[in-house]
Amino acid sequence: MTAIGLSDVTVHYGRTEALSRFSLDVAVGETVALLGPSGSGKSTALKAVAGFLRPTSGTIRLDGRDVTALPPHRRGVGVVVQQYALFPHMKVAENVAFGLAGIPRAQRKERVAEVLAMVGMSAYAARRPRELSGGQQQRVAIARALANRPRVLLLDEPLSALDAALRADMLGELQRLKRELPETAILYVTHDQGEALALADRIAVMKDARLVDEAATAELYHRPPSAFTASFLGAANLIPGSIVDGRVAVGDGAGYVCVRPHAVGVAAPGSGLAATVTGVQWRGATYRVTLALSDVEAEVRADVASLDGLPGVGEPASVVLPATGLTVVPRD
Amino acid sequence: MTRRAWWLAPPLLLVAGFFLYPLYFVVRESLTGDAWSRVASSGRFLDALGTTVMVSLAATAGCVVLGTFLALVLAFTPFPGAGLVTRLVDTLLAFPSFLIALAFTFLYGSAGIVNAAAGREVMGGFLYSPWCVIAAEITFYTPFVMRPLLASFKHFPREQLDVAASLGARPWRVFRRVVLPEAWPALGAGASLTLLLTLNEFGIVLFIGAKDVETLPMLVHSFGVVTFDLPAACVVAVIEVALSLSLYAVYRRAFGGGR
Repeated sequence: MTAIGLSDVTVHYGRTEALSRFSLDVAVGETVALLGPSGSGKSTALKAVAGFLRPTSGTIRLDGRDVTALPPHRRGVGVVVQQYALFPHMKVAENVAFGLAGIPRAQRKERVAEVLAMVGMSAYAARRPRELSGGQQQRVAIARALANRPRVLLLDEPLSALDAALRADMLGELQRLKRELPETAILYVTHDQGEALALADRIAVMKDARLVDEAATAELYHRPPSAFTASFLGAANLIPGSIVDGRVAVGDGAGYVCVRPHAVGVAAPGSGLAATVTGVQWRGATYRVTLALSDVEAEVRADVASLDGLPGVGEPASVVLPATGLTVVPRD
Repeated sequence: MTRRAWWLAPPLLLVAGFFLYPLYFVVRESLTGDAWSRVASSGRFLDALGTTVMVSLAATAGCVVLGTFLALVLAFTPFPGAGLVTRLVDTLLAFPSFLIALAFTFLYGSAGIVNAAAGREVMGGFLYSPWCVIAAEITFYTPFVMRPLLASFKHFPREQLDVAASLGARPWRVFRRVVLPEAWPALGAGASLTLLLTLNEFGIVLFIGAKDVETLPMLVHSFGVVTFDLPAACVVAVIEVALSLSLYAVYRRAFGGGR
């Protein structure tokens, strides 16, 4: 059963095409991440589903019903935005109750208490938004979006305004919420591949107002169909070449061999592809070694646990690629 | 004397010389003879006070409704030429108020455009009624309400409107529950300023010359210039000043940020 359906949706801002013939289905209970750099059209797609902007062409369906021409207040979707957008003059409980105007008072109180408990904010019901931290405000914003039990939840970069530690916490919270809401379809817009990998059942990668690739999360990560997806999701190395009889042939063919930095090994010259070490960054748990291949114009990044016995910066080295798990993507 | 006091001296002297000193004479003149009791017991003064308050309250209410509507349209429904309309309204602020009254004469007078277009007398006595004074004051003072509201609406976060709508709120509810509470200070400031200015409005009332509309400034003019009863004119003037100052005090207390 399709909860959110976009087919051939095009959106213009003035003369700029912000979304180009975009199609995507989200099933009931499914979480799909729209992943892409800024300006790729992912927020535009979400706004079109919410009804905040009107597509130039195309159809938007919610639970099978054509809502393309409906205003936002008649779509019944929950929306959470990056900057929380809490109503500053209302208390937390009033913010959460805003979407519950149509139900009896006693039931409304019950529902507010229920969703505030769900996001762990029960103790803050009487506070004003300005008395809360960013993370707390975002929890309230999520509770507000969930209060009316929408079947569709739209999250537009919900963690981008938070600092790194808080973001990790909130990511865990969102995973838990997702488990607690098995009937809710979630469209999650982000530029952060980590959030997409952690939350999404499927990922749709976007670039320049278009859908580039779309597949189940693990599938997309392990077998990226395009060079853009390979580098954007997991920062893969793209080495010009092909795989012939299970071996990498550098510089050969019309594709890129795609390999993640953590799967690349670095060794003394002679055991793999000839290269020169161009830099080393300590990242705490690992070192990131960058190397320039000798036979072909390409930079390779490798994450290694230790630098013991490895060539230093400026010295010749060799890049060791794994025997399995390599994919080839076409050049753009 | 400290340095700071030296800086304060010239403006204080100016205020004293050109405002407080003449005001002192106005107060002193009002105390000659039985001017206060004469004015207070005359029906004409009480009528004028009532008319002044009614006209300025009605005009302010009109300005608030019209100014809020215009600011909403200009800020939230982008249409080509919205910027031009905003500038045109700003230009209105630069005109003297009696110009509006003159324009009304040409529009609604017995030989005015409206009657000419209709081919017969349709405006009736509108030009000489209190309604015309109120309409003219609304026309002239609406920008005073619209301007601060527009500034406050322009900075209103778009996301709040979007999220409110997604929570099922129709535009009217979004305006009432989300936008208006944030715009209160701007609306209050514009409305109090308009009330203050309409209480003291003279040009519009004089030029329209509606026969039943005698406001306090008109009464001052009538006593002082027409019947040469200077003490009585001064009594009304003192009352007018007191009224303005107390309204200004309320305005500063409510919107002055406690300074």
